[in-house]
Amino acid sequence: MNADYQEIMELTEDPKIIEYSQTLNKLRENGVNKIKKLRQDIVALRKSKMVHPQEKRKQIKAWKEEIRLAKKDAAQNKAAIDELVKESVAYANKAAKTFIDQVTIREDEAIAEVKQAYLEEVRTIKEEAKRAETAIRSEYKGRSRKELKAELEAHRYKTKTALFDARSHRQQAIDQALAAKNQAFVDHVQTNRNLRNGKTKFSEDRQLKRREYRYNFKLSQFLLANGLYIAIGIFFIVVIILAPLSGAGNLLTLPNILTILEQASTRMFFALGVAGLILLAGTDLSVGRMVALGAVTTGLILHPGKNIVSVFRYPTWDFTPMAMSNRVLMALGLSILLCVAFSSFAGVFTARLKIHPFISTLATQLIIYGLLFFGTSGTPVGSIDRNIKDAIGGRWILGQIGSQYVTFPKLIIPALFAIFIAWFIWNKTIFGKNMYAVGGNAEAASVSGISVFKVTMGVFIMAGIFYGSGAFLEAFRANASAGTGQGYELDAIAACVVGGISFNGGIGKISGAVVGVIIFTGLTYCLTFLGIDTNLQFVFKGFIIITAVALDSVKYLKKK
Amino acid sequence: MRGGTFPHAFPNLPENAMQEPVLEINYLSKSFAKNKVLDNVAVTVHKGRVLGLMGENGAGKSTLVKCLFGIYAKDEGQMFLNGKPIDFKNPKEALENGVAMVHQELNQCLDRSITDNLFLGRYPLRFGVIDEARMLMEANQLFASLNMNINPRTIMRTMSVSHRQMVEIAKAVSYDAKIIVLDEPTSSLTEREVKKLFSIIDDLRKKGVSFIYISHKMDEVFEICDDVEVLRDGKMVLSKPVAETTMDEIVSALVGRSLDKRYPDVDNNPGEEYFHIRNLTTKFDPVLQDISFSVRKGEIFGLYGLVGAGRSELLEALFGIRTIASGEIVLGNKKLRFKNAKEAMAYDFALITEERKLNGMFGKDTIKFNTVITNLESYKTMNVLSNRKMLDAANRQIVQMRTKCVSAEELISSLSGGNQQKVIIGKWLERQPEIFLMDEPTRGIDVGAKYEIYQLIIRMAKEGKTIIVVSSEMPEILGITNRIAVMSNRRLAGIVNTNETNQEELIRLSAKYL
Repeated sequence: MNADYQEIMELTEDPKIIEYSQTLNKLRENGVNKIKKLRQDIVALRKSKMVHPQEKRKQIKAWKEEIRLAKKDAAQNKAAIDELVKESVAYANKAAKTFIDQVTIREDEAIAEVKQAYLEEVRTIKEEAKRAETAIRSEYKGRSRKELKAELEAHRYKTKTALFDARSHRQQAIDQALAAKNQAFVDHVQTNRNLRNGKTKFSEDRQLKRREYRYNFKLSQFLLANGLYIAIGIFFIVVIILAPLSGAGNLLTLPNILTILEQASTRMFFALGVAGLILLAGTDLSVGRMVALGAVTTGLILHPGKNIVSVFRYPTWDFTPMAMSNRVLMALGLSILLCVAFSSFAGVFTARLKIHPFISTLATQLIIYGLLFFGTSGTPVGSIDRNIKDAIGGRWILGQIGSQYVTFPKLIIPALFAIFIAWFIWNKTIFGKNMYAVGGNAEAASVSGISVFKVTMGVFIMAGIFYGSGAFLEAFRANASAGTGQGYELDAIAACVVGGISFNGGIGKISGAVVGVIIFTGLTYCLTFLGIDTNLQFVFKGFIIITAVALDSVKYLKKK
Repeated sequence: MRGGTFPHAFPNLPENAMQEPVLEINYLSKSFAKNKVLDNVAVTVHKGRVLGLMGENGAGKSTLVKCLFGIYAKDEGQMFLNGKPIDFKNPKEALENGVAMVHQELNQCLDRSITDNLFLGRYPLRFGVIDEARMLMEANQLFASLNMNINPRTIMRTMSVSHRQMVEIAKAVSYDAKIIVLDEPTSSLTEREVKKLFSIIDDLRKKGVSFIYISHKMDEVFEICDDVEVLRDGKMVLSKPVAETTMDEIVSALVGRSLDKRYPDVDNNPGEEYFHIRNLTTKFDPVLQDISFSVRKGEIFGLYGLVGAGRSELLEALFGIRTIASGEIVLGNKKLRFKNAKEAMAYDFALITEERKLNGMFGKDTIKFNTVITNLESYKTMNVLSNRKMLDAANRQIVQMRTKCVSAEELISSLSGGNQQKVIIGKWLERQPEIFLMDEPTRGIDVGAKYEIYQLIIRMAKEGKTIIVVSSEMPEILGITNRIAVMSNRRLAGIVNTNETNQEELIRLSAKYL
């Protein structure tokens, strides 16, 4: 059986594939590969500060001319290259299939052998152990009980370790076999990639990812990473079952789900904003007050008719003469501007003086609170003009199911937009990567050329923009007052933390924050639906938070 | 190689005492995921003897010791201490049983005093309250007995790395250990401090204490160790008394092939002087004074000096992360005044720092993140960061530096120290720097990988890059540089041609302004 070990030819050693590669390289040499290299050289030269601009221009001109010639060469050979690539990949796929099949057979046989050998070994060990124990007992017959016990103890330890060793041997052998199988597939994809000059095929990538996932899958790891979500999922299922039984009605209906998403939409903005700060190992206590600030501003500007509240004892304003579209833009703009102003204020102290964000945002929280209550005397600013309220915060009627209308909340759209923007910034921009760097190790980031000050300020400003936008939308859900949004920061932070954004900084994903918000909103909704007292709901939230962070921390406790 | 001599003959313990194995480890194995780091390793330490443990990066030395201490859970194997089977659950248990360790990556509470660190976990109580007076007295006694001139009240953060290491060693001694494991103990010590360490080891050896001395420095192993064992790829390939083996034999065992030389030929051709530092004085403590020298294009310029001489600070000043009070830095015909790292990087400077955990690497992130983070501009497709390009860059550097890892998505914290250093070097190589500043680049890296890095340095110099290397290893700085500048007490003591100087001159210069 094991004779096959030497006989399976590695994919990379297949002479035909080697021949194909060499031919392709030759064809590409003066064409596409040359162009690539020249382009890189041009970029590097442009960056260099040591060369005189005139020289630079001359050299770049010369290189560009070379590129032009190389392009001609590439065009000439394109057809031949494409043809050859098709042919070689087809061959490689066939060869790979055989290769993978052979490896699979070989490794499966190896695994079977190992399992068999293990059972035998265990049997042998146990027999040996029994024999040795009887021998010890008879040997120590005359001696003290203590000596016998010590000897037996040592013997048992030996047996235990022997069994443990056998078990880990087995596991390792199996692991090695699985690794070999996986590696065969990786070789296959890699060979194709090389033939295509580095271009990857989407389907191959997907297959590779799936295989890697399956191969690396460990139940314990899976449970650890997703345990919380599974638990919450079970919770939701239980609640869904209970709801009709307790007389509250059916929970798992489209309207209910859409309502949950609608409520989650405004909360999403706040979580996305504070997520950046948590990533930087900070926090933001002023979120709630910022919401009030933006919502009150919006409420004032979009109120139909003369305002009922006078701000800072000024005569009441009346915005109705302005065109509605202008009013909307003004409300949104001003809301964002005010929030950014206050978040930058806190940000400057954190970024420049290294004051912990807890302190700087605690200060802004109190300042905003004071200004708002003093300015508006706590009075709600009244409702928003009904037309615009429906235009932005209303619902689209999708149709009818039975006697109920199914409506789609418009607020979900801006929320989706915000999620996309946050994801894009975090993952696809240099600023995003810098955020991770500063959050993970600010010292190292500084030495790596990243401006910690700029990144910190950027995160605060970004948060302000998210808060301002969310606060604007919040005004569409209820009459704004200075007390609006109180406590929102706790929900936002909790959502991020449950979603895996670590308080230690440098770790976390936008998807986590999104899931966290939906879980919390859904939880609140379900519990309210079941008629559970709001105060008891806090108990649930508390437990979820601590469980989430505990599971997350276990992941990072170095399991050695 | 080493200038100073250390008497290898000392009164031996009685013959039978030497045969007693204090520590016995049998067929120890350990894997991390699919990476088998230890494979059936056997180690024996005899009473009153020093066992040298050598091996490549990732060969398993640190892992072996951590398994002993219960920091890692072994996969299989048996361990016996003085004949009794042991299985420590944690280092505290090991300590209580007389097995102490001084780590390669110092684990100290930097914001506390030396005394606090010494008594970590075992503060003496008096009527339920911590007995500061007693702590102070015992600390003073300890340092006196070891001949160390250290004030126990000093806050750790204010001390240099080498002084912190000495405290760590003193701490191990204070536990009255029967076995002390030293993991790369001399990596930040000067010649004088190494001698002191060796005399301490010798004293304790005579009293019956055994040592496991993990090191890459063969000279030291030959000087202080009685036995030596070599690990390669997780297997024990050599186990002999030092007296019965040679350096060549050990080198072959280490790398599996014989290395004719430890250093490649320094055959680069430096060009004209083009990097001038004139009367450089830094602003904040520790203040460098009036440093002037010039470096040639394509030169490998060494920077030697005792700990505290100001070498790291000089590199930081050149890189723009240390404020300059006065003086000029001129590159070609351009006057440079960097205000931060980014400006230095724009001129194709690169800096490898001395302590990577502190400011060299991002410990919470992956190899891929650590490789690409300084060069993100180059990984964009249509103005958006491309994961494919970043992954390719990471894989490219893994191949070029021959980093031992499972994949680029692995967390950098799971790599051995030397492999982490390789990732950091790879990160800078992505930027193709023109002036490469390196602060102890081969610290904690084994013979084979060191040789690769030396080759890399020489290759870069031949391509016209300029490299300034800080090193505390005399053989290294004499082995791979064209010229050496020696710093003494924050001033420049002198510049010598490498092939015209020797150890004595370097030592003399480094003491010039003390």
